Amino acid sequence: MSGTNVCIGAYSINISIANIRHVCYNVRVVTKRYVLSTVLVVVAVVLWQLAAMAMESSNVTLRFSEQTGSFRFVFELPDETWLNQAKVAASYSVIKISLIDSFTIGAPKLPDSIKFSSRDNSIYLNVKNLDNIKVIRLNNPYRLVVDAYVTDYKKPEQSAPPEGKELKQLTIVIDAGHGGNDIGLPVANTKESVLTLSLANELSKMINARSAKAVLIRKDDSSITLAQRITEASKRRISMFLSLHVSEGRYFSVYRTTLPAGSQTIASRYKVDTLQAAYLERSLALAQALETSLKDTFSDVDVYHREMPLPLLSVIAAPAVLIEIPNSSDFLYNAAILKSISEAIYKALASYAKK
Amino acid sequence: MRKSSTIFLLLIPIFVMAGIGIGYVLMSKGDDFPLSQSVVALKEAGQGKVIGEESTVTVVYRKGMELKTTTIKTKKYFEPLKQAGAAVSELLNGEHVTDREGMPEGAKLLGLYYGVDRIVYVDISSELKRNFSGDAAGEFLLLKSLYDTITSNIEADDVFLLVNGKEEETLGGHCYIKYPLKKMLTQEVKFNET
Repeated sequence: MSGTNVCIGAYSINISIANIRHVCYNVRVVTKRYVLSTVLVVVAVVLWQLAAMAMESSNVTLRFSEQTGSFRFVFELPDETWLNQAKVAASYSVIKISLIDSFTIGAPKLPDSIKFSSRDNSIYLNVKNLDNIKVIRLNNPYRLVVDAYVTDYKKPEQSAPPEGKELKQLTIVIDAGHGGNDIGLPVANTKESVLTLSLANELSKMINARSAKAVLIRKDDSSITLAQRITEASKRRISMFLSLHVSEGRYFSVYRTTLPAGSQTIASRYKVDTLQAAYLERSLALAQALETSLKDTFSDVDVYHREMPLPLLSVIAAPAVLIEIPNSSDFLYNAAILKSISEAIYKALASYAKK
Repeated sequence: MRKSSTIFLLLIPIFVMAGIGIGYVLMSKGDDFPLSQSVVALKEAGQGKVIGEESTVTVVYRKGMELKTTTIKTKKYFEPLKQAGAAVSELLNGEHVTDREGMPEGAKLLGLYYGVDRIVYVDISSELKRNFSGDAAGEFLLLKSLYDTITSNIEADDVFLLVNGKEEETLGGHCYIKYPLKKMLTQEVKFNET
């Protein structure tokens, strides 16, 4: 190899024209790659910033409130231009809000009578029984307020939203009323203790086969006291509690328990005899789901909602209801009827759990 | 001297015995006061001392899904407990309140007592439980009619139901009656068909 050898301590470097050229080439390649990757990173950062700015500027928030006879929609817009150039039009039951550019919108939970959709630069609100609208533009922050007045307004009963769980994660405890010496009410072709047990078995089979876990407090026609039922129910963590009984007439009754005055305090939620205090609203929601489902399935039978002190439900730390099924000579029970009732109850449980 | 001291020693127990006797008579007379601290028992309604005039008692009874109140004429008794007993008997047998509903057949009043805690104990024959035929609301209304009938006629801090002299856990499998009834029966209820 031609060139000059230079010794630096233990190292020896051969300096030649070819080696110098080779080093220069490597430096050029590395520099090129470095510059290229730096440029790419800068471009990516700039693009990301631009996208973020674009996203930020077109974010629209919808707030909703409900008064007697009207609904209020408040759209929070990015700037004054958006506010001034927003167009609102109503025809029949549809309100169309046209904005100047594309946007992203976060919508709150709306009642069933209102359908919400957005396409291109527009928002569509389908309001049932829409009568007329009123539009207000407000600054600081920039808000477009649309009041929709409706006819035949019915405000839904307020209830606390139930826990958002899927039915498959739930443990449903079923208490078949009466049993053993305590036969309960005489029913046309059977007796209450036997009928409630049959219904509990049918319902638990349905629940276990589909998704959730059903637990029966009474598994056979034996006597169980109220205290034993309470003990049995409190052994496990419950998601929902159903007590099955028979009514005095040709109607269904769905009961929620009431608690003594002063049981709504936080301290009461930890007292054994008023554990239901924290779940009263959820029990109401469950009772309403059951009433709706039973009405849908048995349109020719009345479904009553009742509230009274029921000790078995008062001690349950979960949504708890007592269901009474009809007792009439023209409402004879057979396997098909029991299955229909079980289906209706199951649908209500699923509907409640979905919420 | 010895003779007089012997007589004196004999007289001492006689005086002591007489004192105990007089004290007993006075103490037992005190029990006749209404709402006394001792327990007053009425073995059967209508057996108390009748004053001779007529009186009215209030009877609360179930009609459909509601409780109705009526007044009926009865003999006037010296003790208020006997007046209340007459009202409960009327509620149970329905001699004058013929349109009452949900009352078990054959149930009879066995006793009405004041406890030391001013709780009225009402003892009704086993037919009350054996012949009860109703749902949860029916059981509640039956208990409430008994409670209201008693508290409408006498002062009471609470009412405790006994069936054939014994405490029962429940009448019809829905309501818990091992506690006095006031806490349960004074809660606001809602029956949406009424």
